Amino acid sequence: MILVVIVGMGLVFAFVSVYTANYQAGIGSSVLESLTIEDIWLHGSAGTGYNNQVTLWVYNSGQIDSVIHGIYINGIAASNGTSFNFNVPVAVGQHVSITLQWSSAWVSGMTYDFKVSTLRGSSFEQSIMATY
Amino acid sequence: MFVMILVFFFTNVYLWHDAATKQMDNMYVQKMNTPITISLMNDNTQLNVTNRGGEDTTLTMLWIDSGTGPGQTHTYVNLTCVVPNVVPAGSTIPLNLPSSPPSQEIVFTVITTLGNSASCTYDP
Repeated sequence: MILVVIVGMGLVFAFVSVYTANYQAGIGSSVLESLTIEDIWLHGSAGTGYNNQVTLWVYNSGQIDSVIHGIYINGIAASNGTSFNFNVPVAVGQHVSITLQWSSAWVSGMTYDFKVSTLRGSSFEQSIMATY
Repeated sequence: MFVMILVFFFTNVYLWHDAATKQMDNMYVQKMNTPITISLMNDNTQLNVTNRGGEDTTLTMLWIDSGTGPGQTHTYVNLTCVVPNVVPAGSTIPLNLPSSPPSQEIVFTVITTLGNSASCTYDP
């Protein structure tokens, strides 16, 4: 009986220990994340008008390295041509650029809300209007 | 004994979370206390960056968005290695622009390491 209790406590101890470590490395660390969307470039050309491509520059102004998991434009997921989940790492103090495609071409005068979400579940937003 | 082990772990998580939250709160306070403004000077060949806050701030990037509409182009200058790139509290530092502005509208945006930004527009 004592052996069963000791083994049981050992298992619970191991579970709590692993859970704590995972929490601190994962979603618990989301409070330390801070990403700044520093530039949004809606692509196009003066002759043909806007297309559906955009380049985002993101800067990690937080206290911990982050991984950009997905980007949403007006609530609709954008893709990088192959996937909707990018998993782009951004170290603290690093600038990264991501070129994306959206579901439709940009329209002059329209405002677009960009939301960058990280693997830990944080999200950071920025809006831009397509100029004429 | 078992309960003590559980209490130890949950206390550990709580204290860690509390420390992390305080660390970020300090960062947000610093961010709020270092707003910047920028303006074009000297025949549009120099950008003056003014720190309106009470703490020093460090510049990290200058964005130059030329033109408007679909033909717009975006370029940047990494200010990490530019000297000086630290703006003391309440002070202004000059940034020399890479070239004189052309005959089209340009939006200049400066980003700080804490994520603050300021923009100004050159309209020929």
